[in-house]
Amino acid sequence: MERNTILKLNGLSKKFDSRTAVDHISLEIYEGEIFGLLGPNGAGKSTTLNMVCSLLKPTSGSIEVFGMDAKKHMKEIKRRIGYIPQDLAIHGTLKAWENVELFTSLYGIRGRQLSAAVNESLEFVGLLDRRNSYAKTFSGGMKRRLNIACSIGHKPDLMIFDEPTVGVDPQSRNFILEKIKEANAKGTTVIYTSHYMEEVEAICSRIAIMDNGRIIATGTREELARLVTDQDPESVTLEEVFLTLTGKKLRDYAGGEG
Amino acid sequence: MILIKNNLKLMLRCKPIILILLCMIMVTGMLSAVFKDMMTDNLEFGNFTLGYSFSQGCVYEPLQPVLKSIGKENGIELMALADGSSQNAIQSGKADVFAEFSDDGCTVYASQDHQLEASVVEMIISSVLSGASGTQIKEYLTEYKIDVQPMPDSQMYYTVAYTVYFVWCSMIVLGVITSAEQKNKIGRRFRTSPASSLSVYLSRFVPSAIVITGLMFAGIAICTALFHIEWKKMPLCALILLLGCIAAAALATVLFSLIRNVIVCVVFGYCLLMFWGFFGGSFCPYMWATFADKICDYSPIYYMTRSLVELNTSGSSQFTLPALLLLCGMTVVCVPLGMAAVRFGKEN
Repeated sequence: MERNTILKLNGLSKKFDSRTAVDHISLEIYEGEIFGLLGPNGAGKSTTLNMVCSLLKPTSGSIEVFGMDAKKHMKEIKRRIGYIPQDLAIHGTLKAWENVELFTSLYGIRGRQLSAAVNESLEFVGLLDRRNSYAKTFSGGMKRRLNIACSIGHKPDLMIFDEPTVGVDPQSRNFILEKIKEANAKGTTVIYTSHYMEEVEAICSRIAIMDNGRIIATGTREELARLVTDQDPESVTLEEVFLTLTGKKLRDYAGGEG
Repeated sequence: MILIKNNLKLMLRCKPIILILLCMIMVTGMLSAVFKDMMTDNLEFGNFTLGYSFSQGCVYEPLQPVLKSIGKENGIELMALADGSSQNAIQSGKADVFAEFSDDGCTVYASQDHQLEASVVEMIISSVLSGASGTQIKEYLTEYKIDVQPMPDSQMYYTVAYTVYFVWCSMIVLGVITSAEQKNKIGRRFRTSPASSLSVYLSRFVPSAIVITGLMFAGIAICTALFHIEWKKMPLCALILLLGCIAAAALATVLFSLIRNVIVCVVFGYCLLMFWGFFGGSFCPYMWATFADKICDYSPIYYMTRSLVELNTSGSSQFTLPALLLLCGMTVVCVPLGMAAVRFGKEN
């Protein structure tokens, strides 16, 4: 069955002065999948996502989202993307509903539709009963959930989660992962980055591993496992795959050993 | 609208904003009390008695009825006394000032306490005598009228001066939104959204204008009640102040959008306001007489303060139209600049 491509990166690069953060990556993400982007710190994950969300301009290469060129149709593309930033981006002195209302209104939603969107988003993240509380009074996990609610009020077709579970307790983390799966089940495509392998393993249908600005492997968990073992793919964990691919062995390989 | 509403909430929930209002009232109260006597001593005089005498056959004797007429119009009581009695009249308190006319001219006498009144008399008589010749004396003098600018009292002056000054200081309120956006990393939400630069600009400009206007009118209302100030030409004064608030908000939006660092922006704004306030008469009313007009021309505070003070004393001011034009001009220039700065910030 042919799948619709939601995001297509073609030879995408980003240089900061002399440092190359993203180095000619090409990638396709299909409709309805949860795509995991893994990599050590400084691998280029966030830089790649920032370019997709137009927070950064690529040095070279092209980005196509929903079949549209990102340079020409950025406004239209932005309406259909929900970006959940790595750092909390909420106002502590606004109430939970005010935060969601503020950031949902940026997408042109008004009136009753906006009120309904605010309630739905807060309900989705389990904060509807705390809608009138100031964000500054929330725990770390609640803030993370509010951060998500602020990004999904406009019902995006593509959600981009940039390490959404950093500093979150296990209950909140589990809640967030369940909600991502729930959103995906309703048809939303998800790009998910994290340092937590078990999270990626639990929810992602396909995974790309980045290192030094390059995508060094892409595939399902099983396909990635087969890159490092000839035996049963279930016998190795994603963490072992990751460490093997991004560790010294691969660097030696990438350096021409093998 | 939602953006504007929520940014307004952010500003109003920032309690330190109330300090602007308190500072304005406290500074006005303190300075108007401290300088009350000084302004009264130097700048005010009430009715006084002018003793006068003419030497025998003095050519200026026909001036007598005209001088009386001028005196009546300007609250000066004239008292004819014997020639050569100036010292006695002053010492005995019969007259506050004494004018002794002879064919050679006029000599004015006054004690140390009535130097200001003596200056006024000297000015009148000097003008009269310089234009007097033969039979034309009478005609010339009947048209003469003293043109003395009424002076504001210290409460009026400092209420106006510090209302205007704090209107511009209130530009700092936009720092609440800017610092909250920077601290909470909100910028990326704007940049990943399809929100237009215009809506982002308005979400900064409109709440700032509303808060600055609110603070200004609250300050004026409190000062008016506390210091019993009577405003003349209220609608015109309100228009000048309102335009000042809008211009201040427009300028604040340019500065805070252009200079991303809140601290650098505040320091720059402080220096600018010190310059404007210094040459605009916010810190000392005598600056107007001391500094060249060209320097004062660079301060919108000068135009606003001078216009408002004169409107509330004389009832009219030649500075009103320039003040209105300047404030409108500043807004017209700052709005597109601010929008360009917001667009630049959103794209970079």
